[in-house]
Amino acid sequence: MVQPSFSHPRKAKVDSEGTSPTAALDAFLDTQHQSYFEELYRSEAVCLCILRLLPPVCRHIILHILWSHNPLRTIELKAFLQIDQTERNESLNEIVRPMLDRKILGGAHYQKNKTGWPLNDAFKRGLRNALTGLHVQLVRRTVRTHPSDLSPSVDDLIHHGETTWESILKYMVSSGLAGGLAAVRPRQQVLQLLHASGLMADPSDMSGRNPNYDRLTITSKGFQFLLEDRQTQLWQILMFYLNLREANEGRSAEILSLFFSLGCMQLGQGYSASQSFPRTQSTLEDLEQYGFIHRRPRNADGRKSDHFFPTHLATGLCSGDEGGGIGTAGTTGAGGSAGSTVLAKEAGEEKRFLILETNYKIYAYTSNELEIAILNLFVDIRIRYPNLVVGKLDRQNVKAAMEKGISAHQIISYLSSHAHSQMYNSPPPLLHPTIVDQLHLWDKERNRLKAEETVMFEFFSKELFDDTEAEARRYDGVQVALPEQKLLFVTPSIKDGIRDFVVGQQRQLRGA
Amino acid sequence: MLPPDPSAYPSVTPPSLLLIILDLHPLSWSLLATPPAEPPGVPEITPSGQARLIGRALPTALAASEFITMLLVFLNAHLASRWGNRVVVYGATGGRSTGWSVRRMTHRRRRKLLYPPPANEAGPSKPRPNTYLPFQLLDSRLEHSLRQMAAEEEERARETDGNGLNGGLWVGFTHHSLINLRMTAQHGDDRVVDALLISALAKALCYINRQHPESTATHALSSSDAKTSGTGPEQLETRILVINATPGSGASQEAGTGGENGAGAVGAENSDKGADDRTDTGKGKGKGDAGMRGGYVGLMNCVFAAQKAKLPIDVLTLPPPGGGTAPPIFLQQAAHLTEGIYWRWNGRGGLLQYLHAIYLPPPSLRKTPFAVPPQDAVDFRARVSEHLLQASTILLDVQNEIPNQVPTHAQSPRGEHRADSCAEYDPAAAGTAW
Repeated sequence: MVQPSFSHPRKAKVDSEGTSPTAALDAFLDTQHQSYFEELYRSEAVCLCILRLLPPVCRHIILHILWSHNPLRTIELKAFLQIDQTERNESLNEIVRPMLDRKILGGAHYQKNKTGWPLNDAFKRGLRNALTGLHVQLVRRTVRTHPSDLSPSVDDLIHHGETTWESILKYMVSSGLAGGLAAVRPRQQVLQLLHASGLMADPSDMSGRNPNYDRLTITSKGFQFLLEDRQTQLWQILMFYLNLREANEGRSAEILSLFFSLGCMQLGQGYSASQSFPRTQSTLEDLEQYGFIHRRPRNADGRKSDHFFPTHLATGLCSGDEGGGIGTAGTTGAGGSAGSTVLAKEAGEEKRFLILETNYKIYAYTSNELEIAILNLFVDIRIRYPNLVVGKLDRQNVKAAMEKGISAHQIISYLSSHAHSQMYNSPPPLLHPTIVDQLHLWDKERNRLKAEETVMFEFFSKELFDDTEAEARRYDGVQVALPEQKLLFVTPSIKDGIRDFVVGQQRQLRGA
Repeated sequence: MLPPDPSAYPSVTPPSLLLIILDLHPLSWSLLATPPAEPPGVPEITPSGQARLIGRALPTALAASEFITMLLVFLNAHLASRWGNRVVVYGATGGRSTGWSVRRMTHRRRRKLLYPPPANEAGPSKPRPNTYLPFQLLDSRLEHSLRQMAAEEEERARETDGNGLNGGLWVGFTHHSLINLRMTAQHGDDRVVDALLISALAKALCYINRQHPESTATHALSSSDAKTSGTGPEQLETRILVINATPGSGASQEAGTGGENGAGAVGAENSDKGADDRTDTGKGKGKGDAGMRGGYVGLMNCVFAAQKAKLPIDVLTLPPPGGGTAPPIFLQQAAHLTEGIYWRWNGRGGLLQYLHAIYLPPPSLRKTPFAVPPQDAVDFRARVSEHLLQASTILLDVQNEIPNQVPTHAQSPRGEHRADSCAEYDPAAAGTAW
């Protein structure tokens, strides 16, 4: 029996590729100009991280020409990529497009019949320095003047980062649930950011300008945010922060380069704030509230300590599509990959706690309040033990979640990324098609009506109606045609053409 | 050639482990560091103007320090190109001048894991490849291990051979601090080096195998995960790069000229040994043959293990052609059988560019889309027939390969079939040639 399947593997793949953890960052960078990148590329850390954000083929092309004095020539690139020399250059443009977008390669220039793209000087210098270790002032580790027992251990840092970040998420969830979860109210700046980014809103304040920060509730955008994996969440928040700061001061390049520098730091090491980031101290303080860094409590003289310790949230920022972030979805390879510490591995195991049966029953082996609260969004929780939660996916709860703006895709990706390793023992697919399809069907139920803009034509003669309908079909613009009522609905884009056609036809008929 | 299809290029590559086996034989390096007295051979006349340009480039000497610096940059580039990329470096150094047999020198370590350091020395924070610090860690750690190895080498030379310090090699290692380091050139044991490379290769395979239990634990998970959520391949892909500094067995003249900077006795002994070598290749009856034979079987075992595990063994041969040096046939075969890249430096600079262009792309990006140099026609004959009786089962495999493999090579990507065609492919030239 052939089942209609919504979980087509190819489609799923496209979906997962479409949402890379750094999508927010990419979207931001795509809109920037040359001068912005020039400023960014002054930092070696940025060059390194930007390189790693490119597709693998582009990375190797850059490393290939990094030590050459010449620009990247098209003939050279064609030979390197085994493309026929007679091939037109347009296809090459497609390949180098990511590098052009990031302004790593300058615009094509022609010299002696040879086309080439020059490598951005700032980028070239930065990357060369990063690789050779020359002139690098990227990250200065502090001299350990303080007794080592005062510096937090790696476990402490991870704990600190987790609790701080989760407390913010918890606050968001608790605002959406009636009671249930006691959450600490985050600091004012955090709330401002959550409000400005649209993740939370004050329902009583329609204009959105004078919110009461005590009465913020989570929006549908906020719910979607909750279901994202950790890495995506972090980058989204950082980009919201960046936009907010840019609107106020307009010095975002330095802040962005700070993010990248944090990403290049070492977990468990202490750094000097005044030396590393002399001009963006305030940003560092803000990031502290999200758990990206940890500072020791105030010194005896009342000033904040200059030393700070990046947490795993910060050091994992640039670890790309897998491995570093603890909450990264669907990356079992994270455990096997070299860089991830044992801790990240354990955290990855911790994250897999869901068992979903074909009868829609869910067993969640977790005692994490946040995870339970998130599950509670779309699962009818029946039983709660200290380390186990049993619930059921049912129509009512899932549809309630969908009313909040959560899509079936998000639920499915959440379920599959948190699936218990036992679930992998059964033959693929991971989630049973019945459940996946049912979720899609529930989603579809909500979307029976679809609103579209349209242009209506009303005709008096059947002849003219038929002609016009044929004409509109040629443009592929017919939405609905009702021959009895002689009504024709077309898309607005072809309105003018159809009107001219009708006028012309009328003139013809009259003339005849 | 196929029309390019950028959408078909992989958007995700698995993390990659690069395992380097570095030939640190002091004598070989002292040969490389000696500027060639005369240009080795007339450059081949080729129609391409660019190739002639390269032919005119002066042959350059290569000091160990220079090469190590370049290697570090290359390794950093490898680490930089993806999160989760890893580097492992093994060093193989010279053996004892007194014995040929591999078995007899087992009481001393001649091949050594240079990087990463053992876990107990790594300190509280384990290095993470996604940070910048790993570059520093790699640089300093590798430098440290190399010095240690050189010191051990020197000490050993004193112990075994009072007058063994005849070839001095001044090495300054990294760009951070230039130090003078004395490595002693032992003479007359390049066959032992071969064996040592092989034992390092075996070690490397063991290292890779040890990575597997880790990945097999998550194997079921990741493979099914890749299917369901489509996160792409996450399995570690591994390759071995053998950097060979020792000329092939026909190295008598080269060794002889190398004797100039050492004591005269070295030259004499080297040519003796060279003669010995020739008899080895000719008849396989020389008295020093035992070590070689053991090495060959060992190498082939490694090669077949690698072949089975689908591990490419890349080979970079540093001694430039000319001056009567033969290519290291064994390693060439190893690269061929494991579908690795064999390439021989032409001795005219540009090594950094060569390293990046030829050896940097991981196996998943080779051939499609990146070009690899056309591989030589591999010479199986001498060794195969010579050792056929001794290792018949293994070697029969090789022979079975020959009819299949050689014709495909005749139609190598460039459609060229040359005895020594590697010199033609020139990515450093590429800057200009392409």
